[in-house]
Amino acid sequence: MPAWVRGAAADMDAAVTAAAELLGAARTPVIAGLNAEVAAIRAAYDLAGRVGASIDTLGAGGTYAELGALSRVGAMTSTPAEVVGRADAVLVVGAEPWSAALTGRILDTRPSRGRAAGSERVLLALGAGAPQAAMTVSAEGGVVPALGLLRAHLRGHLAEPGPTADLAKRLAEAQYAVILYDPAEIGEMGVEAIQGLVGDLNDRTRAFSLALQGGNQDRAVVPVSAWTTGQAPRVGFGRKIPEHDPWRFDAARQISAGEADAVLWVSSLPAPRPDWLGRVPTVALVGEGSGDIAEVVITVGVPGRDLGGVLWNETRAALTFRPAQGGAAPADLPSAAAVLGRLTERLAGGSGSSC
Amino acid sequence: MLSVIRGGRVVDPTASRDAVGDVWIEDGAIIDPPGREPDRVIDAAGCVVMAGGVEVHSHIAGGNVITSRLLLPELYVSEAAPEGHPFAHAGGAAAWIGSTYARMGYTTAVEPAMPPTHALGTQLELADIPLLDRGALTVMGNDDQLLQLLRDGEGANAVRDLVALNVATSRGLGVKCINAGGASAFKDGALKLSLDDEIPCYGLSTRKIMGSLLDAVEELKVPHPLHVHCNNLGLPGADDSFVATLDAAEGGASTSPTRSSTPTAPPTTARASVRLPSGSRRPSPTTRRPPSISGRWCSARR
Repeated sequence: MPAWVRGAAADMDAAVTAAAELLGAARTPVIAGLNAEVAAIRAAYDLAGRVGASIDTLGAGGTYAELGALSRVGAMTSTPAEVVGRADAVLVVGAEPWSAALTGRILDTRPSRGRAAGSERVLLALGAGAPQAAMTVSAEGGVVPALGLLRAHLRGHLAEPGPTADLAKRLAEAQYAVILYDPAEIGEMGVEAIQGLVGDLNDRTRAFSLALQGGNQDRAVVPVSAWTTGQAPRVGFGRKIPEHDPWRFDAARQISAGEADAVLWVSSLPAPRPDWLGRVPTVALVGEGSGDIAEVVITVGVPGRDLGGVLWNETRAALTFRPAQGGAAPADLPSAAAVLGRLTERLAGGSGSSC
Repeated sequence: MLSVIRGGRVVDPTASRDAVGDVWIEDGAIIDPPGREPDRVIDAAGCVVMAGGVEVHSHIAGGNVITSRLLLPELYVSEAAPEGHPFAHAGGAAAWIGSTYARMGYTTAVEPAMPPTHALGTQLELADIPLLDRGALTVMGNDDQLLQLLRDGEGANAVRDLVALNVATSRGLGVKCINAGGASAFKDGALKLSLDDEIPCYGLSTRKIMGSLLDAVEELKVPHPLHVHCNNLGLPGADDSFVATLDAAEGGASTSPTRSSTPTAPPTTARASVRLPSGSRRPSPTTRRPPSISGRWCSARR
């Protein structure tokens, strides 16, 4: 199986030993990425809890935009299936959603359930134009002020005719309006502004928000983290108890501040590697990689391809099991969870969580 | 293997026993004092020895519980307890829930709200709760598939089969309906839905959905009676809805001021027990097995 220690091919036992030595020598290890199946995420938390590591995720930017707004103002959310089935007006905020597969599905379908069934579906744009949009309102000053202006029109604080007034009218006249956005693009203030807008709209009609997942498994990490530690991710175990701190346990910040002295990168699914990866001694558990990306590299099975695993399923808005693809499985690839379990055994002398 | 739990205050209402004494156990069964030396002695001095508590309604896992943790990140305190179960010291965590219930004398807890679409995540979370036997109720009553079957008059067998499929695939202990049809009505503009109000787009009522689920649960002999979460909770006049719901379910109603979810009652004999205004009419004698009914506030996500 493909594993490398300092660039040289190694067998599994040698690679695990080298990884355990590297991580065991660290005083402030960081486990990052977690673009992986639930079993691997769970095993990473178990390891972190036992060796005092901190945890950060691949999609933390978008995740924190969502979580920060959620804990302050709450959220009224929908799901892709509900939007495809019910929405007669979809406001796309920002540029990113226009390239998402989900937006294509929304464009290709019409409401088939609920009181808007049978009517046309209109796509509206705020902040970035698209040929598919029935109308576009620009946001030169940024998405957040533009959303504020839209809310002011909806509430009657502003009455000046123009595109924003028209957009407000179209949303209020919809029967099931949806605001579609990428939290990583618009940030925490943008998400909070959208939730406020959705709340205002529900005084008049029905409206919901829908955030794009982004190319990561943060939607799986967040629930596993919540039930494992009682908290969202970005957590540190340096003092043996889980401490949730979005600023302190930002892996990029820890690396640039010189606080972290080793990294365990876990990404059984393909993921872009951050530029700080490799600045300190690093172990990488990756579905696809080569020997030059870290001191120790261990190739693990890709969930949904080489082996079965539970992943966040954006289409169904739920954790679902993805079986291995028949015939394609290289039989000797270990799961990320299995490698993490072996590291836990070496480093903490236990056999992992007995939950 | 012969064990004795020694010196605890043994409380057993079924045998009118409440005194300090010993409990002997051999091969998993409680036995009379055998007059032999035990293999194992558990010192229970200062403790109460009782049957494990069964909590039939406790939100211990699933989307609601996850969201509650994320909504209030400051709620829980984590304290060092290095000898405990992994993560049992992490306030609000699954391991903390299990160890806290165990400390209170419980051995079983049932999560009462598991949407079938989120059953896998909920079951994985339940699996991480240590020390307890766990179960979950499968939520139905607002899903478009069921409402469509009823609207199209597909018949009781179709409803029964859909309930069976949902309970089997989600590994439910029973079925719960929460404001049957109310969430669907909300999506189509309603803010209030009483028992006989028409549900937009489906032409159904809560009474009809609930009745069809009661019949299906009865016929399938699901081990837990249908659990009914009443409509309009938190709105003025919701008590009318409670009474009407009890009548509709032909269930037993009590005028005692107790809440639902009597923890020590085995699920199969659970009686509906909600607080009713004095002078309320007691519903007619039951023909169906009564549902269990809760008067809990359904959290609106605002």
